[in-house]
Amino acid sequence: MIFFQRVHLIYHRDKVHALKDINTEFTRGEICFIAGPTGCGKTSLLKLIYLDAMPSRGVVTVFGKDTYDYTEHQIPYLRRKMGVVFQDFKLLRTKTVYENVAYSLEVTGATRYEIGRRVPQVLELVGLKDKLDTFPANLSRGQEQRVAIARAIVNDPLILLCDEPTGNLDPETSWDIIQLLQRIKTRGTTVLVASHDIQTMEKADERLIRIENGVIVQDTKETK
Amino acid sequence: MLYQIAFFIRELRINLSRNPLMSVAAASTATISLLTLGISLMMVYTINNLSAEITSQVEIRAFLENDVTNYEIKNLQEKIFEMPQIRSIEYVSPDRALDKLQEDLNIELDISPEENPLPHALVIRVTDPRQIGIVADQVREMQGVTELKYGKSILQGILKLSLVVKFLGYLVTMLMSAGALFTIMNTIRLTVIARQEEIRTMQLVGATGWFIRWPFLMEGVFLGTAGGLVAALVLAVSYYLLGARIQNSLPFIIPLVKASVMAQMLVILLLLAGCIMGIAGSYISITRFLVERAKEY
Repeated sequence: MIFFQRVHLIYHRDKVHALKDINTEFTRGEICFIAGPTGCGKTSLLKLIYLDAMPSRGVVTVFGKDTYDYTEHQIPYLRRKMGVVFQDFKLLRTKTVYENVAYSLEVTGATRYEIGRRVPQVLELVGLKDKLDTFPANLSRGQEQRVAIARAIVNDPLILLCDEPTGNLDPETSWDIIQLLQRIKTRGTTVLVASHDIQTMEKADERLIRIENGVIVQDTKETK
Repeated sequence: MLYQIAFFIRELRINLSRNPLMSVAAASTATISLLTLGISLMMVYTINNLSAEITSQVEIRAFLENDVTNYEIKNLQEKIFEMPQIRSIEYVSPDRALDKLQEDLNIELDISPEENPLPHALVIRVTDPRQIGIVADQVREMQGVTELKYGKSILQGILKLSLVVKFLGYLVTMLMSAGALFTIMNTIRLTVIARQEEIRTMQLVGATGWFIRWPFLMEGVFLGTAGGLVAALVLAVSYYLLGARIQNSLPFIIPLVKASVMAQMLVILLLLAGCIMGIAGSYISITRFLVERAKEY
């Protein structure tokens, strides 16, 4: 589903070589944790998948197509097949919890009925059914994170990318989130989770990739 | 499709109600810009009206032979009226000319009809004052016409002046329009910049460029039109109040345009200008923003 072949990513503006010679693949229905210290390249790896960055060298293939072959017009449609939980959540501040989650469906042209059925379901799944009309400013960090997850999964994405989804949560809530992501995986979704919380990820006993200074230093898939 | 339109209208309502300060600031800027544009439009309209008023009063006086008969006068009138440039033609007999002279000079002249030295005359008005020379040349050649007067040099001066004033008026209006567009565009750009994170998020969750653009375009139209409406109302009311005073105290100086006509012109043009500038401003701002984002990587 996702292939990285000798991928390098250089941010020319900041002169940072974020990823170096990345070779890996992620298959359908797989969950993979990507671990490493802050600034090691985890977020960059995810960005290459949702086409917020393009490789400087090498090839990234998503849904069987080189990311360079997606036109500007095709990118929004590609992103609709993915759900992304951003490190800073990126919630729409002027929209309520319900509207934030609904927006992902609105862009696809879903009907009001469909949205009215789907959004409460997903918010119930993440434990926020009583916060439908609340604005992000009135939510805790953990609740914002759950809204971000709800928005990412409301479309039933084929790929779910989570950047530090447990970053601001206590260990118990973090573990709840990990279990939620594992449940999502069972629906056939490929889930990639970038985090520096290595203990929680090891506890999950799933595929784990460690990145340091932009280089993959360990991939448990290869060692298993 | 209908569902999406309803969604965009809902988005517009949400954006306006949840960013009230930004909306009021943008509409106020549009109002001020369109007020200056409206003032220049009013000036151009008044100048055009004045110029049309002056040039419409330009006339040719063709003096006829003393012994001309009524039949010949009628024939001559018909012949002149056949020319396409003619707006009206009026016969002034020596008696009527004498009465008019006495009335204008406010004196009583003791002259019998037989002693009346004033000639028979035809007063000719043309549809386009620029054509008056051509008409005069043709009338001069007609049988029975002895002399012709139409203030050639004064007319040419008025026409030249009116052309220059009109040109300056249009130039000022164009500059004002460009200024208003620039101001409105930049104000809307500020609203776009204030919401750049929101737009970024929209892109990342799979919204197409047009899905992002539509609510902004509608917001631009709404704010521009609201600004245009307020500007038109302010100017129309001011014109109604001030114009009546000027007209009452100086009725002979400037023939002012009727307040209702001016109000109609202002409402139509400023609403249209506000709408176009709002839509152009938001389209340029949001497109430039989306393109800039796309070029970042």
